[in-house]
Amino acid sequence: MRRLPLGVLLAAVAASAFIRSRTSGGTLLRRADFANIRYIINDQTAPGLMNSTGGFTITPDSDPIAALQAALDAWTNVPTSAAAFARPEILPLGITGSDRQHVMTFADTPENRRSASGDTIAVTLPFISTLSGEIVDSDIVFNPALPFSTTVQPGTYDIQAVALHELGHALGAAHSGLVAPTMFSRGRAGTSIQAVLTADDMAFVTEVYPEPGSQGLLGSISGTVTQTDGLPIAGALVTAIAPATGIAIGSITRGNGTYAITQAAPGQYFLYTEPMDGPVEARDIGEAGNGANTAFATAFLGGAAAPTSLLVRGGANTPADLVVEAGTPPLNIQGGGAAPLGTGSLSLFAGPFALNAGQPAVVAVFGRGLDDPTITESAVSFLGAPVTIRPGTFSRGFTTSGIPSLRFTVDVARDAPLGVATVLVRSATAAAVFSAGAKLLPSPSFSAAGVTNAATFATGAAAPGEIVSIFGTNLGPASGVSGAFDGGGRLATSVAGVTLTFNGFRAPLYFVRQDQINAQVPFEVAGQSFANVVISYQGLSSFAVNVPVAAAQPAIFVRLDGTGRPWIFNQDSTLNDIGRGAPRGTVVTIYANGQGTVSPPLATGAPGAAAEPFNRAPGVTAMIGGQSAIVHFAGMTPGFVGLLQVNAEVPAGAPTGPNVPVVVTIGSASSQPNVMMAVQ
Amino acid sequence: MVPRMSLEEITERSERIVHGRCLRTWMAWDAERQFIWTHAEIQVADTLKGARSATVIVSEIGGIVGDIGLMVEGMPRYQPGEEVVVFLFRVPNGMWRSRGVGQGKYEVRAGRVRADLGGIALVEPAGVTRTAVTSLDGATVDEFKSRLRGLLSARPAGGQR
Repeated sequence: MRRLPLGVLLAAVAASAFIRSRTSGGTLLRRADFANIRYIINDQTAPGLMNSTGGFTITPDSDPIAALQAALDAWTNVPTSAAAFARPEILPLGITGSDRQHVMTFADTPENRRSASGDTIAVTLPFISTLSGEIVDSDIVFNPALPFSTTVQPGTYDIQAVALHELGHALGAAHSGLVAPTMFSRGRAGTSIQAVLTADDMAFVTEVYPEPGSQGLLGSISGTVTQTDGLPIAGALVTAIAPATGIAIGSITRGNGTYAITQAAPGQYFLYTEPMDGPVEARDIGEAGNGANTAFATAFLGGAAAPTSLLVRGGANTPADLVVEAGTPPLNIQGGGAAPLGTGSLSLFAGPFALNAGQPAVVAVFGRGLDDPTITESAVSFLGAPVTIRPGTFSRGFTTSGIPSLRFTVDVARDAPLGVATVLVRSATAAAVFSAGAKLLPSPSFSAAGVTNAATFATGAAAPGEIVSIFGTNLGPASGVSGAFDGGGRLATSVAGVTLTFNGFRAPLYFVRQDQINAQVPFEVAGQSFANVVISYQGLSSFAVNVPVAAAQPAIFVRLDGTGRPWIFNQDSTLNDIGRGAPRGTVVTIYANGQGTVSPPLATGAPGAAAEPFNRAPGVTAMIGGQSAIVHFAGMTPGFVGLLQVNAEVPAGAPTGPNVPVVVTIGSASSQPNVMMAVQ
Repeated sequence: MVPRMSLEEITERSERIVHGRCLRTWMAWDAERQFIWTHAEIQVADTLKGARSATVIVSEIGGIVGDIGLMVEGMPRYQPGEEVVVFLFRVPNGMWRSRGVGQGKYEVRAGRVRADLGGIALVEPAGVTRTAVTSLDGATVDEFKSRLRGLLSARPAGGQR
């Protein structure tokens, strides 16, 4: 491919599967401010941002600042690299040429439209010194005409994934020759699979901006790729993949057939080479792909049937040469797809697919020659991660475009490392790989013991309409995000990419964070004995957790200030407390939870009625100081979702003192013991 | 990052489609001195869609002026003498750009076409993807233009912009 002078500028160094750009004079691009890169986020960046044509640029349920921060943090937190982004400022600044202010913006302005109007999703605009190769300005424009989200809404582009990719360009990276990395040249709308850096991305930022002292910790593999007659192979992809860690790092051979895989963590690796004949094609990686030889067969060190593993040691190089058969490769995997088992149809494309640790999935790969009858179930395997093919699930077919495909069910080890895996397919005479095509991502995880009443954090049955707190891991974003009411006046059931279902009914969400979700149990589970609870975060779902359902499960809210005192208000609206007891004969307001169904019925997520008819909870009784209290009202607190309000009269015969027990009962279920109120 | 477009989409959404040869290229700041652009003057041999003219100037963001470079990944570039089929749309400042970044530029070598993706990052949009822009790689330029004319004639009347 011929290029203009700018094309020369864009020429890239094809030493690794990650690719760096350099100036026309050969200087590699890098940043002088790498240790403290300061980005400014345009102050219009907010949920619900609309463009000039009335469409959403950022969906209302998104948290764009958190997503951008997460992308900055991901590059900053590579432990072997010294590159670091400062906490961004949010200012009313736009992009202004080469002013050395790095701005990220979604705003619909003429200059943003103009720069991004080449139909890009987002564009990084790095101004460089052609003399030194220093990147002096690196504005990032998200195309205001397109929809972005942080909730993996269908048809939207994931802000964190896009930002992570563009920040890679801002650091000086071009596109990777491997499939799974964030810097790979293809992605999909409606997924966040590329929102996680891979080892290849980290190898790039480590090589360009090494953390002092890290170099002795990492090793390398280098050698040559030649034909059987000794002629060098140019533009061959060489990949090393470590089964124990899921690390995959790649390289592209130079014109003389040499390659060098650098920044490799110590460990055992399989090594193989393949032609850039899809899914990665030479033209995908621009100038670095010029002159690539694609007429040879995929080859493994030690052979595809029983690959030999190489040991990489820190601070040392491991030599390894690969020899390939020249000629048109008979097999080629061009892409694939995966879906959790039992969730419907697969969507295939020439890019990475996600697998979740511990979750079985249906996987398909497609490509030339896969209809070879010598390809059997035992000839398909995964390298680099504990992914196994379930016996008896292998089948053949064709894509809608008529390309041969293979389909099978896989089991992924619960403790699988969160790396990548390569699909290896062997026929009687050849092998093909979908190199680092599968990316293992963390799934939300929790157990029945983690499903608690939000008033007490006690495990037990869930009642219709109850507020629950669920504890686990990977349940949502690192920073907590509060729920909000939707356009219909109900608490939203999707917050920051998190959804939660009970027997398939979506639960309104009060709060989501990686370790905790507060939600309302849908009223629709009334009458059922158990509920299958499933949490999804950014398209990845947990196992279904079976939780018992009760008609009611009352619990009184207690304060989290260390006193353990209940949320009970005296008749004069003061908070009941030691030294501020309720006089006998007055009415106190007890805030509780877990009342079950109400009358008239209330829609899940809807606040209690603010006027008659109030949503009353039937059968509520109260005991104060061991004596029956007259309940004047028991029902949903007006204007609040899921909050039970019990107005009870302190019995004339109740004992006085700072610690008078109070209990709310519905049917046979009572609130937690040892809740003490003050009576005077 | 660029949404993947189909051949039908770039055909439908382009205001001009021309077959021609690059005469010259140059780089310059825009009037606001915000961005550097690389311009290519294409001598038009055949107009498949849109207004006819002897030449058309195609502009893409990025380039070098003095010792400053604006480096944008994946922008299509042209070389004097290069034979191309380009799918163009006009941006508000009056410049003509290729539709879908590199997806809207086909290079012609020895009479055969090949999509010049030029290292762009393609993202699959939601919905049905129709004919891939690379599906006609290797077709003769006459076969390619015949396919385009077929797509254009199949469009509803009045669809030309």
